[in-house]
This record gives sequence, C-alpha cells and structure tokens, in this order.
Amino acid sequence: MQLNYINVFFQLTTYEIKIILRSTVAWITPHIFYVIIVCLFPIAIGHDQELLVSMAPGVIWVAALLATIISMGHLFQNDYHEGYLDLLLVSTYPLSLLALTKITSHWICHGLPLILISPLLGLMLNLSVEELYALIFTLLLGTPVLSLIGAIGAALTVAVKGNGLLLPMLIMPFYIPVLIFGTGIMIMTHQNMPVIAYYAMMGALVLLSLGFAPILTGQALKIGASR
Amino acid sequence: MISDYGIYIWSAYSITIFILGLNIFFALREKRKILHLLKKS
Amino acid sequence: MFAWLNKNFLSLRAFYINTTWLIPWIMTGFSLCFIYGMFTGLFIAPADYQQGDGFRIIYVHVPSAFAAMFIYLMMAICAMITLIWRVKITAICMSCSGPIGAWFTLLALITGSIWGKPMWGTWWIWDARLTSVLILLFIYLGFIALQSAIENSRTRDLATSIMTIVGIINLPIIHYSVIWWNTLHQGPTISKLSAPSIASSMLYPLLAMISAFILFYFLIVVIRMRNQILMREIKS
Repeated sequence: MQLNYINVFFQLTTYEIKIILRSTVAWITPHIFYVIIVCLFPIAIGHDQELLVSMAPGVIWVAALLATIISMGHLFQNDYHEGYLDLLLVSTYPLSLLALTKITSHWICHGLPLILISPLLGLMLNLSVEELYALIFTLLLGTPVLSLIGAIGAALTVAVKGNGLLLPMLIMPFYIPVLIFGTGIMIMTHQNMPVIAYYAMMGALVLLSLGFAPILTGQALKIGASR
Repeated sequence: MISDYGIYIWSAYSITIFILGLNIFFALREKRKILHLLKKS
Repeated sequence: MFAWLNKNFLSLRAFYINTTWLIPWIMTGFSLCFIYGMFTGLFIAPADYQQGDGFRIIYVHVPSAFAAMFIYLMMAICAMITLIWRVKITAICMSCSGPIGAWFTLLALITGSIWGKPMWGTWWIWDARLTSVLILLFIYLGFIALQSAIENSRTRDLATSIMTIVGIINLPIIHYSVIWWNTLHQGPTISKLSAPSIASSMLYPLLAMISAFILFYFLIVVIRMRNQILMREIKS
C-alpha cells in the first residue's frame, strides 16, 4: 500500500516543521546569533557609512553562513539518538525523498526567517532600496543551496560525538562558491554593473544542488547512521 | 652562483626539501613503530 | 575473473607482496628524476628574459601544484571504487593519500607566495586560482578531520569516500580558473593539445621535477599503505 510520494512529502514536511517549531527557543537561537553577528561588525569597524555599505554584502552573507551551519548540526542528531532515523531508513520510501523533506523543513524554518530579517539588517548597514531587493534575492537563491549542501555534511557526521566544529570545517569549503556568487550579486548591484551572470550562476548552483544533494544525503545517511 | 639567486629561490627550495623530508621522516617513523609493535606481539 | 583479480592484486596481502619489490624501483626513479631536475633547473636552464633567475621557483611550484591536484584525483578515483565495489585497498590508499595531498597543497601555496613577491609585488591576492587552491587545502583538512572523527573503519571508509566525491567539483574549477577569469595568475603553460609555450631547455627539468614529485607521492603512499596493512593485521 504505497502512498503517493507527493502526499508523503507534504505530510512529512509539515510534521518535521511542527517538531522544529515546538521548542521555540532552540528554533530562534540561530536567528538571534545572525542578528548579533551582523551588529558586531558596524560596532567594530566604525561609523563610516560608505565603508559600511561596501562591506555589507560580505558581513550579511558570512553571518548567514555561520547561522546556517549552527542550525545544520541538529538536522539529523535528534532523530539518530532516538532511533527514529533507523525507522526511516528501513522504510520503503526512497532515501532521497526523506532527505528532501528534512532539507525543506530546515529551509522553511531556518532559511526563510534569515531572508525575512535581512532587509532590517540591510537598513542598519545603510543599504539603498535596490540593494535591499538584491539582498533578498541573493539570500532567496542562496539559502536553499546552503541547506542542501549542509545536509550532506550533517548526514555524514550524524554519529560523531564530540564538539560540533567538525561539521563547519567539512562544509565551509563547499559554501565558498555560494558565498562568492552571492556577494558578487550585491557588489555588482552596488556598483550598477550588469549582474545577470551572477544570478545565472546562483541559479545553476541551486539546480545542481537540488539535483544531487538529496541523493547524496540519502546515501550519506545510510552510511553515517549505520550502527 | 647560488648567492646570485637571492633569498627567494633559496627559501623556496629549502622549504620544499624540508616538507618532502618531513613526509619521508613521518612515514618511516610510523613503519618503525609498527614493526616494533609487531615484534612485541 | 574477479576472484583472480582480488587474489593477485586487490587483497591486502597481495598488495604487500607486490610492493615489496616495487619500492626500490620507485626510489631509483624518484632519485634520478629529482637529481636531474634540480641540477638542470638550478644550474643549466637559461635565465628567463623577463624575470631573471627568479623564475626557477617554477621547478618546485608547478610540480607541487600538479601533485596536489593529481593526489586529489587519485583519492577521488579510489573513493568511487570504494563506494561501488567496497574494495578495501582503495580505501586504505585514499586515507593515506589525504595528509600527503594536504602537504603538497600547502607547499604549492607557500612556493607560490614566495614567487609572487618578487614577480607581482604581493605575497597573496584573492584571484580565482589562489582562492580555489586554498579551498582545496581546506577540503583536504576537512577530509583529515572527518577521517579521525569516525572510529568504525567501514563507516569511516564510506563516509570519507562520499566527502571526497563531493569535493571533486573543485578540481575543474582550479584547472580552468585561469581560463575563465582573466586575473593575475598566468595562463596554463603546458596543455595537452598545443605545443608548450616554454623553451625546451626549460621544459625538460620541469617535466623531470613533476615526475619526481609524482614518484615521491607513490613512494610515500606505498610505505604508508603497507604500514596501514600491518596495523590492520595487528588489530584483528
């Protein structure tokens, strides 16, 4: 009795989202961290408005990277320790589907708030309106890639004990291209230069990771969660 | 003629030989440790 | 057929026996290439028209950069074989190659900076090739970290294989970065299809040094793989 995959996807995603949102404090901590990091830089660097505008893309993107990496560590940990992950692995549903539900729920709960808070932070960093639009678009394209690629690392390190710095160290080299193109969009918008190439590369990254990451995450789950 | 080449070439080549030597040294030290372990057991 | 292959080449014991006579050959080959390359490169090759004698760093910079990418390619091939056919010897090869590749990448970055200072006036610049080689170094370091974090040997082999395969995307980026982005680092000197844009008296020491570094990698990785095989023998 095989349910329709689309139904399963939606039901499981809503279930995961409800679980993540159940503990409000654990959900909101990475976002507060995001805001704090972005606020640290103007405090550290000073009042020069021009300098703030020119460093705004990098600051917001690095803060988004760090906040995503922090929330990525807990993606599969709870399920692994409770045994729910083993149940998912022996069910007859394809592993890439299950990985995709996890990634989607993670992006909706941790990626969308980043995108929604970012205009406020952009105003704090003295960005103009076009640059705010560019900021929202670049984060809208970038955060799914971050969730997708980070899920592979989270699946590989799901059974590893110890401090949580292994996952950032693994995943950061793969986040660097996203960072380069994401900040490239905003820098080009600031300098009023053609920006379509960077949007195209970001779109390519989204499609590539959307195609490959769920499969790789499924395989990595099977390997990492084997006892 | 070596002194004509200046500090840059001298430092680059010496760092290279140092790192290559480090690799050989660690590989052989590992081998000595394992053979020692094998002889004991 | 696979059983014959397994018994004579792929099993740990067969690898150990085969490499016992192979190591002296690799050592002689490495010594010859290295001595010829160093001597010819440092003393016999003529000084460059623009850069003077400073260009001689090419004889350590290009071989180490080539070795860094070659080692990652070897690791990726071993990773695919390990994942698909669950062969143990390739897993051991991959885990031993990681630190060696990291050292060569570090060497490439250091010699590149030393070359950059007299040639471009700066120790470091964030252009495409330097950044992507730095990313390669981080991928190697992450590989070493992941490898030491997982205790179960089977899980460790498969997990590090997946990570290596995910990182293979970096290798085309490094290779083509000087063609796609036209920034500071110079273009490719030796390409497969066209004649090299370098004089032959400078080319032969370069090829000799590249071969020397690759033979050095094979030497070290074979020694370390034999150590690993003995270690696994002790543990079981």
